[in-house]
Formats: sequence, C-alpha cells, structure tokens
Amino acid sequence: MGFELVRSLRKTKTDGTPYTRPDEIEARIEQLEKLLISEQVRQCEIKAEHETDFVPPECVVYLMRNRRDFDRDDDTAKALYKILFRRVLGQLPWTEQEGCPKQLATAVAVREQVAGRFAEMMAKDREEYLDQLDLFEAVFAHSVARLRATARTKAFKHANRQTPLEAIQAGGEMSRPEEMQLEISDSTIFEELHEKDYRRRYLNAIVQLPDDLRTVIELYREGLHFESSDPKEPTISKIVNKSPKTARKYCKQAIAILRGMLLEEDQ
Amino acid sequence: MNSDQSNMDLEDVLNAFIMEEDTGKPTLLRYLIDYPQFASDLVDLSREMTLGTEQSSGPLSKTDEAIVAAAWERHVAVVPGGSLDPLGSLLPAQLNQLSAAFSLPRQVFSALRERRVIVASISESFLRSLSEKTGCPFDRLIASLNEPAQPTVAGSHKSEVKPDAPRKVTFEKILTDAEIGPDQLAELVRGE
Repeated sequence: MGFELVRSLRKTKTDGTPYTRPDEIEARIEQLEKLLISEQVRQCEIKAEHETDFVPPECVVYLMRNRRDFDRDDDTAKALYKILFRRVLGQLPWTEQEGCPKQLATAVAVREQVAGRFAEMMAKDREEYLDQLDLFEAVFAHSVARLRATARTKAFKHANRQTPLEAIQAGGEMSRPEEMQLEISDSTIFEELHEKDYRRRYLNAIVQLPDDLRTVIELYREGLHFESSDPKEPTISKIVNKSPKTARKYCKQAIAILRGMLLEEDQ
Repeated sequence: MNSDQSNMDLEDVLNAFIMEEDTGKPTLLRYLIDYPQFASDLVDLSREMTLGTEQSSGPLSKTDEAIVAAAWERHVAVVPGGSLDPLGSLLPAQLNQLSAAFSLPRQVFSALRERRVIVASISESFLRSLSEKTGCPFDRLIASLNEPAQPTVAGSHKSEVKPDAPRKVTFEKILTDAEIGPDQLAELVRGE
C-alpha cells in the first residue's frame, strides 16, 4: 500500500543525506507501531532498563511526536508526555542530592532551563515539524547533554554575576599568586571524578573558567601534550592556537582556580 | 579540511559529533583538528556527555511536577499544524490491531477510513471506543468521518470516464456486507 511503517528522520547532514536512528531503535519502534496506544503507554511506563518491554527514550520521543492530534482530556497523550518529560528530567542534576546551596541553585536552574527548552521544542514541533528534535529520536542522552551544557553555562552566569573570576578574566592576573607555584603535574583535581558528588561540583566549577583556560584544562585531562616533535600529533598548543608556553600558563591558572573553587566548597 | 567541512557551522558540527557512533577521545580529537574554531564548544559538549549524564528514575518532586504540568499546558495549547487525518494516518499493522481488538474484519475499518459510512448510523459507544483506541479525540474523529467519502483504493484504476463520487452508506450495510452476526451488529449499530 506504499505505507512507511516507521516515519523517517528529516534532519539532514551537510551532504544532504538524512540522519538515521540506530538499528535497535528502529526495530523497537516497528514493534511499538503494531500495538494499540494503551499498550504503547504501558510499555513506556516501565522504568527499569533491564525489564522486558522497556522502551528506550528515543522511541518515547518518536511516539509523542506522532501524537499531534489530541486534546487536554486525552489521558494517553498526557501520560506519554509525562513519561517523556520524566526521561528528560532523569538526565539532569537531581536537586534532592545537592547539599550546598550554590550547587542546589545551579541544579534547579539547569532543570528549569532544560525542561523549558525541551517543552518549547516539543510545542513548536506540534505546530510544525521541528527537525532538530529528530536527533532526540536517535541519540537521546547526547541530545539532552547538549541542552544541559548550554543550561549549565547560563545557570552560572545568572547566579554568579560577581565573582573573583571576573577579575581574572578581565585582567589575566591570579588573585592567589601562591597557587601559581603549582606544578602542572599536580592533577589531583581529576582524581575524584569517578565520585558523583565531586563530578557535579567539578562540572559546575569548570564552566566558570574563561574559554581558553577551560579548553586547555580539558585537553590536558584528556592526556594531550602541550607540544610534540611529531608534526602530526594533535597538541594542546595547536588546538588552542597558542604557544606551548602560553598553553602551559593557562593550564596552571586553570588548575589553581579549580582547586580554589573546589576547596572553597569543601569548607 | 575539505569544502564540505569548511561550510559547517557550529550547529552542524555539534549535531554531527553527537551522532557519531563512538564519541570518545579519538573522535573528539578528529573534530578538534577539523574544526579548531569550535574547540571550546566541542570540549564543553564532550565533557557534558561523559561526566554530566545523570541516571535517575525516582519519583518527581513537587517542583518537577509543576514543571511538567506547565509544559503540558503549553503543549496542548498549540494548534497542531499540517493536515490531520486520524484514520488515514493509521498504519496497516495498526489497522490489523484495531480489527482484532473489535473482532471485526478489516474491511469495516477500511470503509471508515474512506469515510464511506454515515456517522449517524454508528452507535456512540462504538465511536467512543474507536476514539479511545486510536488516540484521536472524539470530536475530531466525528469531524473526520463526516468528511466526503473517498474512492476506494481498489477502484483507483485509470478510466476515461470520471467516476461518480462514492456514496456513504449506513454502518449496518457495511457490517451486513462483512457478514457480521445479528447480535454483534445490533450492538455496533444501536449500542444494545
């Protein structure tokens, strides 16, 4: 009959070819399409990934986007929308676990901003197909990470207008000269990143650094060298387009600032 | 950097990055070399993807409930765009499911989809059940069924003579043609 069982994505790469969903997502959507809506919702309500019939969030986005024609009394549409939002919120900083007021404020702001942006995108999509949402049907966690990255930076800018870092950014001078004596090899700030609470604090601290410092410290954390005799080796110096000496200086500054911020919160 | 890469803006690059099968260090380095102008954005996104992902399926807080409620209100307030055809948009597999759920042959739902049934001849209980099972609001379903009848798919062959517009018939006629028994027919037509 010429029907397409699963709606194709419309978002295209720069070469004009459309993005596609992973095979396993495509296959799960095909299964869901054969079910009545009430059963689709029942399966989407399953929270644990290991449970039979668990529906990946990519598929929940697909189903909700297909439900464009409903009214406010439609229980299945409302249930599906709530399930989808729970999946989004589940990938955001969890406010109940934040002890420090500053961390709590950032977590609340990130949740509100990401939720607001996602709601805006979904509403626009209901009005007229929004192809940016296609990526949520392919790589949900990464797509939410994009919204989260933007929200985290904005949240800090709104919450912390006046900090010592502003002076650093403006003048390029360290406020704690003694910390400048740190060796770059002092990378203890990365050692606790496996720990969830520390990781959250690190993420909120690093977004407060100026762009160059932030990029250099992250490349350093990834294990890149500042310079290399091998012209083909990607180095921190080449990527940030600064001399190795300047890149090292940025790295020292970044470590010093981050240590200061993380220590301050520990106290 | 080829010409295709040089034309990519930040959005294109970040979209391409998150869609990579493997977004680990080698891929990040490749992107940083190809798009040094977006280095800080790529590094920020990569960090958020590796360190920032939370996994929680706990109950929503009151604040979250309020966020979701506000988002839902915003969503339902939107007037859906594009052409809406609740029955026409049903996929063949879904038609089969409907057929099984109502214990009726698929030809009955084909007739409804082609608007060949007089709506007033269908019981309200059947229509409400159909509305629920298709997820289409009751009023919208009625409006859709009341639209002019469409030619059947089987009758869409080429002809030099323009066919007459298809006529609507009673639901009882459709059910009788489908050899539905008297008890089920009475229930579907009169809600008995």
